[in-house]
Amino acid sequence: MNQLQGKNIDMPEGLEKEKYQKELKKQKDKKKKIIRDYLIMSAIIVVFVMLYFVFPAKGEVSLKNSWQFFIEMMEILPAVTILIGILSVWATQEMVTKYLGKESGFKGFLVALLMGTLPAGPLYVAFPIAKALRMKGASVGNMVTYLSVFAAIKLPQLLMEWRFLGWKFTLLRFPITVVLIYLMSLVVDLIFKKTEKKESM
Amino acid sequence: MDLSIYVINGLVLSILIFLFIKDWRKTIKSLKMALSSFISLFPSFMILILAIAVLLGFLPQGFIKSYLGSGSGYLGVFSAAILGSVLFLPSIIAFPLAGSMYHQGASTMVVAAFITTLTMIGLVTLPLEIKELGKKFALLRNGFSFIAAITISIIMGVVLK
Repeated sequence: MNQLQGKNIDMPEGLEKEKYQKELKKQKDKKKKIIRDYLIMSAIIVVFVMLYFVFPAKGEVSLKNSWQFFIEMMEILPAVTILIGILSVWATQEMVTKYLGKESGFKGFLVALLMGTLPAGPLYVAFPIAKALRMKGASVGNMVTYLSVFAAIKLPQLLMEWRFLGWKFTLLRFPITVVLIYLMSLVVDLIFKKTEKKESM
Repeated sequence: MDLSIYVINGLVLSILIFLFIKDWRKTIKSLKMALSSFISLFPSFMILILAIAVLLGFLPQGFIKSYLGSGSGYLGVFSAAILGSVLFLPSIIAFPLAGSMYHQGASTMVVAAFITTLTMIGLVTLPLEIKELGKKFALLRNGFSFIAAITISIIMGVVLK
């Protein structure tokens, strides 16, 4: 992810020298972190295999689950990372700020809402998308909206809810959830604004 | 879920083709960034997946049903919300489970609290959320989601008696 920040350096906006060096250091740290993540992952896989031999019955279930989750992730991760790549190269700061920034108001909420309802897999894949949008100028409140809608009321999930819990349940939960997500985004935005002011004073 | 996967992948693919025709250099650059973010995200997601799979593997069968079935009233809502926050279930398992409980007589409030916290809050995904979006953001979002989920389920319980 930070590699893409580094690559922004040769873009027309340009960063000052100091910032450039900071970016370089950040990139190095990032690389170390990635290597560490791969090591942790390998360690967990080893533990997983050991568990499988110690508790074969439970291991069977865990293995089946993890395979299912793995497929679920691999079906969506390439699309998500390509989306992040496109976003970081093509979307300008002005564009994202205009539609999702601090001044975007209710329109920004609607944009975030629409984006969240699009089908796109489990919640955790939305975190890096939200991060990329934040770096391009999206407001905190709108990212709360995006993630919450993505989590609770995205379209394919609503269809499931309809099927298993009935239309009354689904049609009632949807509007109430939208209203509460809106309130939540306002409150979190406000808290961020207040603490930011304090920090700058 | 299958159809939505085709839709999103098709959508991303058509955007990619469109952008490639527009400016292939820029699009190659996007793809390079996509690859580097794939490399950096992959281990975090794998760790998460394995942790959840082990957790579910060791959860006794029928635990969720008996846990949710035992509570009723506001206390039931609260404990359902706690369980929903801690657990992570893919919707393909979660909704049929919630549906069968609902038809067996679990209250609207309890089912709504479970579904809403299950989808919106993730204790298992919290470390990843903190890593990507910062501690303050992640804690505030999850905290307020809990309050929102309780509110949603109480309103639903009152309306859908």
